[in-house]
Amino acid sequence: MDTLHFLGIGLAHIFTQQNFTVLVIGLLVGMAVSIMPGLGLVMGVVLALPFTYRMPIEPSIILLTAIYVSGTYAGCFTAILYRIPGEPMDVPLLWDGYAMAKAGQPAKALGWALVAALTGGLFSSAVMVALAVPMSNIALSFGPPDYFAAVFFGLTTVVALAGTSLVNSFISLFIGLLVGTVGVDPIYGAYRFSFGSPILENGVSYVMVLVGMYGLGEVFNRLGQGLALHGAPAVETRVKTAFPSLSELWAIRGTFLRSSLLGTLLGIVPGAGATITSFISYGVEKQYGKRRDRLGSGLPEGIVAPQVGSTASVAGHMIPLLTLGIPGSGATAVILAAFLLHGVQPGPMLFTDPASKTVVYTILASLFVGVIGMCVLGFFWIRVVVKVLRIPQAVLSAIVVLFCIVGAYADRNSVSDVWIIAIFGVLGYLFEKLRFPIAPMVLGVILGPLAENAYMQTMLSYHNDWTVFFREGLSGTLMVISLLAMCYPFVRHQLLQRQRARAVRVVQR
Amino acid sequence: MAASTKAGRIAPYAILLAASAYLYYEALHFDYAHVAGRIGPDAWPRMILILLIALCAWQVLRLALGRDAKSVQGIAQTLEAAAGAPAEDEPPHRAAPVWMGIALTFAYLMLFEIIGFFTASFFYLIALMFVGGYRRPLPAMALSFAVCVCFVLIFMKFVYVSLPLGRGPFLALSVAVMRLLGIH
Repeated sequence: MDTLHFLGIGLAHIFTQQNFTVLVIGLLVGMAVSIMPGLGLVMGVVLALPFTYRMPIEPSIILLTAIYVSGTYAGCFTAILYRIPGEPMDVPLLWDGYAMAKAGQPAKALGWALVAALTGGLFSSAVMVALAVPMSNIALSFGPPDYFAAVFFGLTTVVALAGTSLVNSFISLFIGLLVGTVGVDPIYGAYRFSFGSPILENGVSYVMVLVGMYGLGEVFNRLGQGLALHGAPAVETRVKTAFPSLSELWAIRGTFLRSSLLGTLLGIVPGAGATITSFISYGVEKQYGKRRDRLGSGLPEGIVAPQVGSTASVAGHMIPLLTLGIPGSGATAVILAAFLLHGVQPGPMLFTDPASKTVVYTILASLFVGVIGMCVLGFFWIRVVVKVLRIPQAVLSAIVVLFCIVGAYADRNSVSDVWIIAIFGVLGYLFEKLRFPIAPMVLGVILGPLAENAYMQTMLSYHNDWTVFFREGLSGTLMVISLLAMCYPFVRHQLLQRQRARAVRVVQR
Repeated sequence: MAASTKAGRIAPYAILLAASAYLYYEALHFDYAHVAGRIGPDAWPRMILILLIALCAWQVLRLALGRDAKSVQGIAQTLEAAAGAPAEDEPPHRAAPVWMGIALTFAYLMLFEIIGFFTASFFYLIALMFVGGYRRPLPAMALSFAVCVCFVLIFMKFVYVSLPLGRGPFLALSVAVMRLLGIH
């Protein structure tokens, strides 16, 4: 009852002039950045951060969250209509979405994507509202070992899930963790890896790493590809969205339910971003769906599963951020930065004070309104938004670079921050070129200081006894799951190797 | 050719290995007041560095022995393969524009405070568009000018960021632009 009361207050706050305006702007910006290849929703959220410096906390977080949520949806238009995935998460939409469009049903394919985004978004937002208070109560009982285990879980899942090479993912993560140690140590006040440089003594802000790696790094990488949008389409302005019938929706209710649950659950896991959720939802449909053998030929299940999964993950990601203060993705890390810039530390204490509780529920309510709003905008205005594809990539990239630089400078009016993003931009390019995944490194920088703090507190409280992580109920469970998640790819690899060797032997006989 | 490719693949790990070893040495010499029986500020970074060194050494060894063909993939990658994802064509990659873009960015940052945000950004944008393959000088100049004006207006007038104005004649130019835009 208390939850509904605060949600009602939150809804009323959304419809104030300032909050509603930034919500609509956020939805449009999110759509635009997710449509343009080379830009992404994380970059959109990062680039919007400087605009929140002078705003009150509510519109700031609403703006960033709106970009985040609509960024998971709008890429479906270019994926379905032009076979251009605006974001990596839209790649699964190419297989069935584009196939359906090619078979003469582009309007229907867009309709399936819209209903999927709406369902996934609303379902996970409802789950999040229901889970927020119980999770914050659990979080209040967290000790340092539990907190460390929760962060460790996030770090291991991002490595286990992402990347073409697990070794490279681990190396990327360790580099990120190491970057997170630069500067003054919070317990002893000792300078670490600062080499006497005042820039490094202040530490490396993870927002600068995000801007550098995702912003500048991506532009540098695209410069190498000639900034060409291969097969850039003449923008189609006639296609409308056609909704599926109720009987068609009912026929694939299993897909909706499976993907909504999966998207929300995976969203809660720090590290499993919208891209991973989208792929896993599609993968699960491919393995367990009723028509799994025909997936890829233009079935609605192939559109619904990834779209529900990616949109549902957004609200899921907000749970660990709001209740534990642990950002599970690049976008939520930027939202955390916006909270901190306004002097608010997300975590269970947010749910104890009525004033901060109102802010939290306004943000939660903005997700409901945002999901509905993005679908309405998608239905009516997407033909206008898709026109951003006409902007030459070279022009767009130059503007993005300038946004990155000014955004970094605006944080502290310091040129040293701009140098930091330039260095991480080069590093981002090298990572792409050498096939090191960027996500583990970024998450390492974000979660590393949290992990270290919890680890040090545990070691100091429990007299350097590391077995405490495995002896306590909650932390022990999380640590075991983390280790299993880490071992699973190795075990699977070994099993596949054996299977292949056996098959070769059979063929040779 | 094969040997140089092999060396090229080993190089990043070898460089990382050397850098990690150096940082480990640095971590051994952090300046702090040690308390008996308590771990110090070096414990966490040293733990990470040991893991990093071990992984890099293992990878160097593996590659040197030619055992890099089948590396363990992440779960998402495995699922992607299981989902039947067709292999996407890798776009051709040219290193020269990238390094030109990086050099331009570094030069821009060096000049940022000397010639001011407006002037530096105007030339930087034109140059970056050119490197990116946009070869229409007049529209590029017009676009750069418009973008710079928008940035000055948004960030200096509405977001209150004091972007660098430059020195000497560039300061006068920046101030003139600001006056024209009504920024005081």
